[in-house]
Amino acid sequence: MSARPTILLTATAAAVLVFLQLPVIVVALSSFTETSYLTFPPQGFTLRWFGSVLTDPDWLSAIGFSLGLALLATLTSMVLGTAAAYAISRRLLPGSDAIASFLMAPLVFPAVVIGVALLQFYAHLGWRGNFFALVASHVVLTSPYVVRACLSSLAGVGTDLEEAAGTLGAGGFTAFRLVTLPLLKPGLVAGGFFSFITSLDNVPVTIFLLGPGQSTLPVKIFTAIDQGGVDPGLAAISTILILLTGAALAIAERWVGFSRFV
Amino acid sequence: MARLELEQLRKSYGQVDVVDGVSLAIEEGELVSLLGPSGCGKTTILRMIAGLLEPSGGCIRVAGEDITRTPVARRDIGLVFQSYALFPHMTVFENVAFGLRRRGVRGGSLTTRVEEALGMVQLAHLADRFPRQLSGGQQQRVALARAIAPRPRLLLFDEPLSNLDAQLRDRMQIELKQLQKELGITSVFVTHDQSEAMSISDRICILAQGRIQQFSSPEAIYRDPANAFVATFIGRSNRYAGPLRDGSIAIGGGLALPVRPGEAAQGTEVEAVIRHEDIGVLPAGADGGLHGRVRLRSFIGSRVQYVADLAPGVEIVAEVDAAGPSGGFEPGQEVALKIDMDRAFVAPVAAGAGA
Amino acid sequence: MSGPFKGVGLASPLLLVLLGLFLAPVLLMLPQSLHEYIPGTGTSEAWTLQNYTRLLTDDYYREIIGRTLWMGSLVTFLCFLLGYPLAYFMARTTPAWRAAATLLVIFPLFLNLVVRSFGWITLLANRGVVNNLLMDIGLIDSPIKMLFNMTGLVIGLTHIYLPFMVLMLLTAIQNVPRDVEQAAATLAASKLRIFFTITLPLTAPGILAGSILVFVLTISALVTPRLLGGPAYKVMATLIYDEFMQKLDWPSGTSFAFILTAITLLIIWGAGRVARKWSGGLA
Repeated sequence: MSARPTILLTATAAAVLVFLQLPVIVVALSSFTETSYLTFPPQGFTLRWFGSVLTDPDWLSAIGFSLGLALLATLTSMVLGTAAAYAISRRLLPGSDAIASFLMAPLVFPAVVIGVALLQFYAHLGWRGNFFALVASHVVLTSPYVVRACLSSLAGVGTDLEEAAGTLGAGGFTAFRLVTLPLLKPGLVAGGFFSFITSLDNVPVTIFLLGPGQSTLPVKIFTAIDQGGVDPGLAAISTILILLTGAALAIAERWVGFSRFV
Repeated sequence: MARLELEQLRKSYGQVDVVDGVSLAIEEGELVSLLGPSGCGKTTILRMIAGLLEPSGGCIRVAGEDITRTPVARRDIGLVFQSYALFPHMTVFENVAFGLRRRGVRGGSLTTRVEEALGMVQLAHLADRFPRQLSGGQQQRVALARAIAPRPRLLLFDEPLSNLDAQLRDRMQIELKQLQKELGITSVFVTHDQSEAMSISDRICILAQGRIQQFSSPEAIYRDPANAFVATFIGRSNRYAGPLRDGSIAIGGGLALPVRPGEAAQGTEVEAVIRHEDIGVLPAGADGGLHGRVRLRSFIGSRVQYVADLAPGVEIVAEVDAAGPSGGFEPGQEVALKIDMDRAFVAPVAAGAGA
Repeated sequence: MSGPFKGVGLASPLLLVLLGLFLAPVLLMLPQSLHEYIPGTGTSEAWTLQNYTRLLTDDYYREIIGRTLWMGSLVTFLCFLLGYPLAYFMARTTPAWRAAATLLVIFPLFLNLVVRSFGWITLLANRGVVNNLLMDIGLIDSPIKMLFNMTGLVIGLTHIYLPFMVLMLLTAIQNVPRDVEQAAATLAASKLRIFFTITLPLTAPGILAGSILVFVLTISALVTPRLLGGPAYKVMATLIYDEFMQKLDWPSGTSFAFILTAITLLIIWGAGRVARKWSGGLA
């Protein structure tokens, strides 16, 4: 039995990988078209659409809003998620497995249901349009990624390391800071990256909670397409997102070898 | 460097007493092994001394100071883990420096003391490596250097050599004992390996079911076991039980083993534990021996081990010098087995705890 | 501080966020779904189950539920069909190729969902890339309709959830001990036979886990079905969206949300039972 894949298998795998990149390629290329309507293959080459999107205050404010939201939600998730994952992993409280399942539940729970539930909840409390309430709702969606990555990292950091630190004179938090935290870094970076992308990507919860005049980048693109406007400007803004995602992925991979945590 | 005292130390989980009232005193600079089968409570005791487990009762004193409730970080101990527990994200140097930094050692004296500790384990040249770049034996030495670098009052070893191969283990035992004597740090060494305990310890504390069975020098434990458990646990032995009649134990097959007078009352059930090397193997018919037939012969280096049948269903194992006159019997051969009953352990059955 | 106190202190902040902003809001929706919606004035005082009965008896709504589940099944099956060969290739190729392929699999996963759906609109529209290409090479005379119907939804959603399936399957295939396959080979089994009698059955738990994940995510997807299906071709998630955002009929929308939740939880629970049974059989 040979260990190498056959030609047929390799060809199939390659075809599926191409299928996965297809919409990305099409969007990226069509953003350079000189026509005012979207066409593929693109006609000519221009950076005009990038210019017009990046000077449009509406788009810029949506980008800023999205980045701020994702950053705050991610930082919060990392702090709360690491603490919770630590408690679960070290079995510091009863029912750790049940708690872990509960903390992961938003990964498979229908997002649109969380969206409408929070819509009613926030409407009742008058929190709709409140930026910090929106951040908190994103923490619900993003923290499971941090918890999951931290749990998998912590499983590889034996309790004996903290005990060793203890016998050498580093108690409690000092041991965590000097020993556990550095060893958690890859998991934390991966979890944080997932968290950031998830927040930046979210529509089904965000769209219900935005106040008048507020918009995140994906909600703005979504609304624009939903209302029929498919134009090269949208392709340009999408291409910017593609490039940013690709760059972030490459950095995260180089930094912590992050594909281990997927 | 201090005397360590345990007083009525207890640890229970629910109804189960894992450590059940252990009291012992370890003198300054002494190396004591806690030896026993798995589940005897030896690691639990060590972890309580270290402060990694809270005792259910009793007290721990170092140099007269009660440290029972002192947090682990302030106990001034060094612990060598079975897993070594080296910090994988730090170099060898940083690993060894860790405990010194926590005690406020900085700058030049930090470097000097780390190098000194690494020198003691012959690893000064590997200071810049990471633990994953070292062999198991080297990691073991780093763990040792890390524990001794701060010169703690107490050194604790949790089966530190059990992950090494046999040859390396033998060498490390010698080095470790030498180092401990040089430093003069009071040490507790947990192991389940009796030969390791024998070779390394000043005194051995044998534990079973959470209680001390015997606490003496290796020689005393070997030559004068306190009870049947210790007698069987230490060394390799034959064990026979039967009623005591006319100064002999009837062990079945019409055989009787004479015992010293006064060992037990007439008619009681007694057992005799006889070490393999306390049995002489002589040509058949020799004076004062039991008649037997060799069934198996195994050559084990300088020694030869015989398994012989004394009677149907009664067998005996004897070990003799391979180079001596008794080294050459073959399976099937008739022999006389001379048992040195003066060296045997004899006691009424069930009198010994924990067996 | 030790034991449970420390644990509670560490875990409670996140637990409180999830209890307060996930569990509580979902449970608090329940009363809403038990009132009647009166256009213009809001919600009636009286309690009623009619939101649920209507959704389950009215043909229009039943068709949407049926369509959603059918869509979920098709997407799950396609993800398995496309995902298994890729995952198998990744498991068996060199580490360098595996790393490259992994990056190509997770890149679309991280790319914005809206952007990916947008890409499929460009590809699948009547005058889109695919139709133009097919017409240029003369395979078809008039465009095939691939948007605003099941075809578009299934293609788009398969693309979106395929990475999840591949990653799940990759783990499962990598966990198949190679010596078991080699043992089969020494017993003179052909490659194909080894695959169907050893590898495939041993990866069944991974296939189940991946399929459940893809199915559950597909039936609750909002963005892609909305963009590729348009406002008229509805599935459950887009219906909920419209009830809340367009028709403002919160009671109906809420009861629909509960039905979607119930289906999701039921599937996860059922799959958990099957998985336990399997692992029990293996142990």
